This record gives sequence, structure tokens and C-alpha cells, in this order.
Amino acid sequence: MLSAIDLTVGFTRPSQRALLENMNLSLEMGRVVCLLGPNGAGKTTLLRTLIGMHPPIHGRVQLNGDDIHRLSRRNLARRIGVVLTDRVMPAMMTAYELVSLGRQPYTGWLGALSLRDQEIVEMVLEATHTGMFASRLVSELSDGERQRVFVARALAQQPDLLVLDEPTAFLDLPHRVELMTLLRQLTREQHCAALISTHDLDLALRFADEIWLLDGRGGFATGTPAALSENGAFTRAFGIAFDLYQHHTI
Amino acid sequence: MTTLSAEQRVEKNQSAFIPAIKSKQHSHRWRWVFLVLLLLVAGALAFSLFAGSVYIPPQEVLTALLGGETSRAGWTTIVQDYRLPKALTALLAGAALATAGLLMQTLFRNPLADAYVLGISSGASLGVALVVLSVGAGTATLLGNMGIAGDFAVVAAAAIGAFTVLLIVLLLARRVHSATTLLILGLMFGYITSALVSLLAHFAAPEQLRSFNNWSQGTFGDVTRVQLPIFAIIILLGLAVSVVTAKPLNAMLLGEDYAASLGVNLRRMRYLTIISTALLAGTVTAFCGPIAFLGIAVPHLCRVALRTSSHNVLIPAVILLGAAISLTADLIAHMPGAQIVLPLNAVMALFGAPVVIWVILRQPGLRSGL
Repeated sequence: MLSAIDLTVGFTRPSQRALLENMNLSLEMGRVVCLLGPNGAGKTTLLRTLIGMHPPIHGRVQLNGDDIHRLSRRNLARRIGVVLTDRVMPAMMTAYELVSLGRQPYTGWLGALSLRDQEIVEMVLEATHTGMFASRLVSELSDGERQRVFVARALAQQPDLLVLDEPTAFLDLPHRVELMTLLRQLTREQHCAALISTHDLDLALRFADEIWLLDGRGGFATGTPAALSENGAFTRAFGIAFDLYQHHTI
Repeated sequence: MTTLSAEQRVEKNQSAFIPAIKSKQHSHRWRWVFLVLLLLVAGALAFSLFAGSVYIPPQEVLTALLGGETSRAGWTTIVQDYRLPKALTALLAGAALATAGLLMQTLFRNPLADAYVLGISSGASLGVALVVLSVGAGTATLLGNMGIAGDFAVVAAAAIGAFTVLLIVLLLARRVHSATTLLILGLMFGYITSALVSLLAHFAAPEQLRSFNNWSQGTFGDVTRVQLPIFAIIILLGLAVSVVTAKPLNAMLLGEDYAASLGVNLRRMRYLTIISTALLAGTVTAFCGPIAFLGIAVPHLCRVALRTSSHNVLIPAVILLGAAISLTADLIAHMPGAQIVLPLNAVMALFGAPVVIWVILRQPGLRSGL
């Protein structure tokens, strides 16, 4: 579904500097992929390139056969829903209103919700178990609740691909597990794929169908958690002895 | 998840009633607030037309408004040439400044932004000062004696001044990510422009200076019947543009990155917002002088009253509340029955400053710095 072909990403301004070169990646429907790597390895830049917010230095990114850097903004917004790292705290906005914003790629020039739009908003509130606080202000929600509402907002775009940049960073352990469980469930039920960047190796190993691992020196490896663990990719990336079955945490 | 399966639909219908009910309560509240706002505007407008320093029987005021002959010739003049233009000017100016404030607050994602604080009104002042203080001594009263060409020059100067400062602030906003820094920069622009205005004033003739000083105190009374259509058309145009920005500005509440991810064309959104603000704030400043506080205070009052940030609801609300407050402020400034006229800006500040203080104390994000 999502594929990167011979992709080189990095900074283009002020001067061109490649962080990751000649990558070939693919992501299938219904799968959860975790993007792991030390700080500065280029996780965010790669994510931003994959969602069309940052131009690639070389190569292309395709979503269902279309080059995403050539799609119109509106079209792209109908296919990719994102949850960013910024902790946005809009004042005087209910969870319902926040989720409704996810319908913008479908609504008219005033942004008025049709009955169909409202149905979808209510459906994603349901799917993310956020319906019970739909009428509460986003600023009054806990971190865990707010993150689920942001996932609901992304889901309201009815995307093929959900992209989340460190969605668990501000959450405590029970809420991390809850969020990852939710994301895994959503990809199965809502016919989309999820690409999640995280520092949380433990969680990634438990919930990812596949891991994209950046080693911070321009190298990368992809595979199932078990496969990467066996061929020593984690050890190379993080510089420590690593054994999946001993449950090491970082 | 492009289609809903039958099972999902059934599930949805069973337990999705909560948000539906809540959003109905929400619109119930909105209906009440809008009703109150409409009554406020209507009441303030009626007061402005029927009350004044000269007593005219209501029946006669109505006759004059409908274009009939009043029993005294002077009454027709007072109502048609003085009260009506002033009331309509106050109404439009209040609506315009409140809307401009709302747009600026969202665009800069800063609850304290408005056309005044960000130096946009100062830019307009500089433009007007350049026209009024540097043209020949023939312009004794600012807008009165210059005719249509003079109006156009003043409005154009104010709009260009406002537009230029807004562009500079916006360019800086792309480099500076701290909203506080941006506010300080806006204040610095204010200082620079007022310094330039002082310099111009230093070399201006006394009567030019007097007309500029009158202008800078703020008044709704200087727009004549002839000028009113021009004023109204530009304000309505600015308001129309602001309506187009409602949807992208809603997305902007989540920041530029989220807005872009929702398909918003950021550049187009920025330009539309700038154009709308420059038309609204620039025009009002040109005709009525720099009027502070309305732009900051009204959007906050509306957000709190309506418990929403949605521009689709807020734009009509700030238009109504802005109109109501500026009509009321003008009434207070003119104090029906009394002969004194208070400076409009002083009255506005008495309204506005407490609101700003309250906003700062109320928002945890502001108390601990932006």
C-alpha cells in the first residue's frame, strides 16, 4: 500500500544533507509498523517525508500507486491521517469538535458537517472509546484521553494510513499499552495501516507487526521483531547486547 | 474504513447517542447567546438613533429615518446626517475590529493578538500621518474637507500602512516561533511608527496637527453620509473575506502542521487572513482613528459565552458583540442629555482592560508564559 522507492531523505534547507539514503520500504494494509531509532537518526524527517510534508531528496513515496508528493493537499488529507508530537491544547474546543476537524478534507468551503460526516465522527468516537467524553473540552482531558481523541481525529479523515509521531511519549505505562492496543485493533478493524515512531522498544516489540529500525549512522533494517532480534540488528542500532526473549528494556 | 459494515452501523446507533445529545445542548446554548446578542445590537442601535444631546421625539426620529419631513428642519439633519451615519459607523467599526482581532488571534495562535497590539493600527496611523501631516495646509479637518479623493487617499494610506506592518509581522512570525517574542516585536513596531508620527508632527502645521490628534483619539462621528457607503462596502468586503477563512482557521487552531495535514493551503489561508484584517482594521483606523481593546476583548468574551473556538460560530458572534459594544461605548462617550464628549478610546479601555486582565489570570497557559 505505502511504498518508498529508492528514497533518500534529509534536510533540503539551508543546504542539502542526507540522513537516510536509498531506502526501499513497504507497508501493507492492516499492519502496524513501529519506527525505532536513537534521537537524531532521522525518524521525524523520514515520517514527514512519507506523509508528504517534507520533500524527498531523491526517490519517491507511493500510496496505492500514486506519488504522494504529487497528490493535491485535499486528496492527500483523505488518505493519510497524522498524530504529531506537538502537544496541542486548543482552548474552548470539545472533543467532538476536534474530531470533526478530521472531516475537513471532505467538507465544503464552510466546513459544515453533513449527516454522513456526523455519522463518521460518531463512529470513530465509538471505535476509539472516546464517545463518553465527546462533549468535554479537550483542555480538560487527561493526557491519555486527549491522545485517543487525536487518534480519533486522524481516523475521521478515513485514511488508508495513520501516522503517529511518538504518540506514547507523554503517557504512563498503562496508557501506553492502552493506546498501542487501540492502534493495533483499529488497523485490523478500520482497514488502514499504522506507522508509529517511538522510543519505546518494549512496546514496539510487543505490538508491531514489523519494525523499521534506524541505527543513527544512516543504516536501517526492516523486519518482524523476532527476525531483527535474531540477526542482531537491535544490538547494532543501540550498541547493547540484546535478546528479545530476555525482555530487555531501554 | 471507507464503508460502514451493517454490524458497525447497528453498534453505532446503540451507543453513539451521547455526542448527538450533547451537541444539541451546545446549539441550544448558542441559540440563546445569539438571541441576546441580536437584542443587544438592536437595543444599542435604537438608543443611538433615538437618544442624543438634543431631544427629538421618537415619532419624529422615525419620520426622519424613513426620509419624511420632520416638524423642525434641524431634526432631519441631526438624524440623517449625524445620528444615523455615526450609529452605522460604530456598528460596522465594532464588527470589523472584533473580527480582525479574532482572525489575528487564530493566525498567530496568540490570545493577546489583535490588529492594535501587533502594530497594524500603528502602521495605519503612520500611513494616515503621512497623508494628513505632509499634504498642504488646505486640509484643515481631516476627512471633512478632502472630499472623495481625500477619503480615498487616507483609506489607501491606512490600508497600505496596515498591510505593510502585517506582512512584516507575518514574515517574522515564520522565523520566530515564540508568540511572546512576536508580541514584543509588534510593540516595537508600534514604537517605531509612533516615533515617525511624532517626527512628522514636529514639522506639521498646527491645524494639521489638531486634525491628526482628533483622529488619533478615536471617534465614530467623522464619517459623513457621503463617505459612509465607501466605508460600509470595504468593511463588508473584509467581513466576506473573513467568512472564507473560517474553515482553514478552524484547522489552524491545531497549529500549522495539523492544518497542513488536513489539506489546508497555508499560504492561501495566511494571505486571505491578512487581506481581510488589513481591509477591516486598516479601514476602521483610517476613518475612525486607532481604537484599542475591542479586537482583543470581544473574541474572548464570545469564546467564553459560546464555549467554542469554531470560527463558523465565532465570526457571526464577534460581529454582533463588537457592534453592540462599540455602539454602547459611543453612547457612553456621548452621554445622552449631557454636553460633554468623552474620548472614545478611554471608554473602550475601561471596557477592554479588565477583560484582558481576566483572560491573563484565567488561562493557565498564559500565566506560566506562552
